[in-house]
Amino acid sequence: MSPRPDVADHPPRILIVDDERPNRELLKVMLTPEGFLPLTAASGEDALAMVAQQPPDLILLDIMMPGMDGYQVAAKLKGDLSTRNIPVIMVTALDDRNARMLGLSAGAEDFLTKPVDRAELCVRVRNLLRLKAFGDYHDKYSQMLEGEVVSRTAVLAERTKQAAVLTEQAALLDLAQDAIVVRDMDDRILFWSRGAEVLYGWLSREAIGRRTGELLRTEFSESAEKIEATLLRQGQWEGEAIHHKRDDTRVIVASRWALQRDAADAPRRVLTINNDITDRKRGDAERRLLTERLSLATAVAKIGVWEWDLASNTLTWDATMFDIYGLPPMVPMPFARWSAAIHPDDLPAVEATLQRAIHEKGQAAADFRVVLADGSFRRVSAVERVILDERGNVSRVIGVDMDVTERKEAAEALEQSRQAQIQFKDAFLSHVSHELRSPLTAIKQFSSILLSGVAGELNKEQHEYQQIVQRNIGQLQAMIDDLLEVTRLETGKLTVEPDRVSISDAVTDALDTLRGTARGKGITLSGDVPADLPLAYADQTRLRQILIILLDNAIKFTPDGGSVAIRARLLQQERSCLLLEVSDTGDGISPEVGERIFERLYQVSEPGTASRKGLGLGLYICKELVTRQGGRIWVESQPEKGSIFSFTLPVYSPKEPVRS
Amino acid sequence: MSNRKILIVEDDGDVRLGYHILLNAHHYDTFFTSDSLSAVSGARTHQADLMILDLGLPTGDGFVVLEKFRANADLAAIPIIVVSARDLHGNKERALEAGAKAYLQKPWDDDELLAIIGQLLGQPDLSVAPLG
Repeated sequence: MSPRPDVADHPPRILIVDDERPNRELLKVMLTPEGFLPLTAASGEDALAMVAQQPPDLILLDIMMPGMDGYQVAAKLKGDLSTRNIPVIMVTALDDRNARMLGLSAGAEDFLTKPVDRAELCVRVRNLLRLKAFGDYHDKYSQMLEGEVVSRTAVLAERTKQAAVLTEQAALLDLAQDAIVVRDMDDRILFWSRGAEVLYGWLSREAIGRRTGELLRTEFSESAEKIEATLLRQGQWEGEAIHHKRDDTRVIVASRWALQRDAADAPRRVLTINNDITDRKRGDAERRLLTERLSLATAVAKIGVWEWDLASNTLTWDATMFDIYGLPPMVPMPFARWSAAIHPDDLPAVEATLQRAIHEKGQAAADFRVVLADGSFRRVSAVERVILDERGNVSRVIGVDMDVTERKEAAEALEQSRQAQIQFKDAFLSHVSHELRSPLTAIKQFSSILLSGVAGELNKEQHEYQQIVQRNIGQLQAMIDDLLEVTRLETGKLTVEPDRVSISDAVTDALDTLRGTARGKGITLSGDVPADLPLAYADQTRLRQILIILLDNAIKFTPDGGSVAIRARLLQQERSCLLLEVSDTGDGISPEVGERIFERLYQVSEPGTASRKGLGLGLYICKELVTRQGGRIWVESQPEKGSIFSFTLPVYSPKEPVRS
Repeated sequence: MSNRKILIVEDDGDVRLGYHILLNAHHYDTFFTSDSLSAVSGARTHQADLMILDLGLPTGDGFVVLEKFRANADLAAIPIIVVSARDLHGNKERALEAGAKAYLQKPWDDDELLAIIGQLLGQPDLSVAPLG
């Protein structure tokens, strides 16, 4: 009897059991070129009949079949001594632990998950055929041995012979890259494949005879007793284990064990195939972490993730997408179902954006409204990017949709309340100033009547007092004007309309306006404007307003008998501009005050200065007006020596638009 | 020559009295209405030579009065001075467009008001006659 299993005597007969013809055909097409002889059965019953007639070398067994299912077929085969050694690979779409456990209990040797990968199919089939060949041979050999050897050293002799046999089989099993180890029930290694040598770093001659648990310092995720029990009960065990290589590094292996029994049904050997999955596990862990992080981020941020397959024109959505759109989950989803949910006013632009991204093979973003079933809207901000296939054509578009409804609504509400506040302030101040002016009108009227002597001549003192009344009416009037001016500045109602303006005319006008006030304090007013000064590009009314505020302030803060002057010059700079200066001989202001003097509501209230000077809005208005005309304003001052308020205005050039 | 007649449309009694004293002192006869509805009838009854018009009035604002005067041939020639506490901004332009000859903001300057009246009536008279 030749001590080698006959695997090459005939092409291995593979029985494919599947109720669906295309599945049978597919497996047949995969197996035929590899030198296998595929046979097919369309039901479990047919398969059993064929096995009874002529047992195949291996069975590929579908699980879900009408009538007898895969588990029942496997149980039947494994329950029969004549067919129990035929390896069964279950082919299933059920990729879960439960299905596998059921299959293992029924006695299947291995699993393949649909859709079946051709290379994987062939390797698995080949490996199992080798093991079967080994098992078949060994069973026959053992029977013979048992008949012949009855000595007390039978076990030892058997082990030795087994080892010899196994060594001879090494060439065959060594073809597999997996680590294939055969051990006896005492955990002593009988066979150690080339793959095991490579994986663990121990040579076959070093490993044989040693216990695997000690050599590899095996760690299981479940207890060794439990594994042992499973193996004895089911004849199989499959799981993950950690092994240590010779150099002490750890490897994670997917380990499959099969128990072989002798003719008396006593456990004899354990065949194990170990597959190094360390890298895959690490990759899995990283991928899982990444996926978890991403899904946490997208869920919290209400970001839906989607993919659009152009060929099938279908969409794949994550759960957040369905939440955002308020649609029941659907896989895959027709593209039209998405477009039907977009607000019709927004759809054309969104589709155009998508098409542009595809055309440019790039990225695009769009904002649109999603119409929910109840007719309400969600605001969505989307970003998409195209994915190219290996030929550089756009095959898919992936993207994210962000629910920005709350953000947009909050921004809109904020803007609305801001506008409402501005409008209220505007209306309030207009109303207040109107109401303040009415009584002020009567006060001024009657004070004027008294002063005019119409109601009888006033004595000198009475006349003087009425003039004080008049002066204060003037201040009140100015404050009301300032208040309205600031409101206009802040509500954007104040417009500056620049045009050609003669500085000389503006200065003369302002000086004329305030000559009376200056005379009242005995202050000398003077202007210095060169005759050849170019025209300014400014708003005439606003320029007059600025000059009057500055002159009025200067007069106010200059002691009686002092002087106030306006001076204008052309500044030859990179871009020429006009410089106007209003100088006084007042007390001057400190640098700290100078920095803040143009702020709104800032008032100079130093001891010894006149108390009521206004609302502190004049210089703020000046600054705003100058800035809006493209100029800038500042103050230079020396305490005790006076202040110089300066501002600039653009020079008119013929290119500027001129109002007719 | 008899005094020129000025119709004053103003709802504030104090202000009306002030007008009365000032304008009488300058030899104008004054007539008053305090709402926009009676402005037209007032102008006709008293054959006003000029009207001083407030904008904020109880029965419709002064712009309504401006429109009515412009639309009636017998009234269109009466020069109107709008005197209002309302903000100059926007109102002045609108009033002048609606046919007012001048716009003064309350509180006004008496000299300015008298100068404008004189100009519009073609007889500047700034001399002051004592009351009494």
